[in-house]
Amino acid sequence: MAMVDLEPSEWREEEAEAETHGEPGEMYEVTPEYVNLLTAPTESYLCDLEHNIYNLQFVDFRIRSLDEGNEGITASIGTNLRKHRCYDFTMPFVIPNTRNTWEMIYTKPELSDEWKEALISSPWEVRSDSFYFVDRRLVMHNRAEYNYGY
Amino acid sequence: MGLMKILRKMKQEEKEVRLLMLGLDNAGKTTILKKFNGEPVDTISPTLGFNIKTLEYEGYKLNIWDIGGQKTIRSYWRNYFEATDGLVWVVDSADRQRLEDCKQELDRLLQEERLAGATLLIFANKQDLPGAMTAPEIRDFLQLEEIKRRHWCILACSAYTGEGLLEGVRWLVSDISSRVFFLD
Repeated sequence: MAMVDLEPSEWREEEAEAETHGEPGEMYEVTPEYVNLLTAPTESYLCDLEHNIYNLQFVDFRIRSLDEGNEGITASIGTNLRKHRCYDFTMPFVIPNTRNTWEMIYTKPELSDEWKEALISSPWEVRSDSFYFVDRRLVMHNRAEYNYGY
Repeated sequence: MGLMKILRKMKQEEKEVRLLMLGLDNAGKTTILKKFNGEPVDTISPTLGFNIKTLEYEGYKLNIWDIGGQKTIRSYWRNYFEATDGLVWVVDSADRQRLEDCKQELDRLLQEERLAGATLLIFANKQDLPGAMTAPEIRDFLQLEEIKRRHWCILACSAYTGEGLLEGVRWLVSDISSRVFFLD
């Protein structure tokens, strides 16, 4: 079971109240609920490579715009796209030794012009964490940085 | 549940339709999916696994599951039967040699209890190829007229040119919606 000793740097206010978490310095189990409470990019991997006992491989990741307000996201689970953005997907049955693509459509948050400008002018500042759980066990953690300046 | 409650529920929740697309390998399933989604179809490699896409169509959210048709993968099809509203069976109309194989696989699927409630659309694909069998010819070979307890329809199409695809999806969605969303 993956455990971390870092407390999420910020807890979502509304959920922090409901959450009864331990004293600082205590070990936290990395559960889907735990990662959903993260509000900032992680500073390290929360999962070792050897935890990927199913040998899942994340091949690529593509985000494309469908129309105003919607984006298609290909093959991704639980990505934190910028602060406070969190998407949960349940992966369907995967045939062993196969390569699969999976596109999800979700509504993206409204961004102000100020935000857009900030994203474009700060390449690699936007980061995401993707956590993969199998039966609630963290088996893979991918971290990515984005450049919107192109 | 009262009618008002059902109506209200329908307004709130998006109408989701789950379509399962199967057929022998090289039938053109992935090409259909990509063409329908407006993606280029000039290089498509065999699907060793699945492609899942969610498309919006006339207020419906279509979850389309395209599962590879290679012989080694067919035994895994069963893992995707659950909650299927519509089954799309894709036929390579120019592959006369494997039409018997195609019939057997379809017959097997139609006996599956978990697919019993699914509307069936058969795409007689690859009509752009010379020597392609017509939709009525394929209907007769597959003995579709024998299917009594299920709504079905066979349509000629070409995933390459896109001809017939929209018509097929339109029929499928209207059949499913009249069945699932309004007569429920």
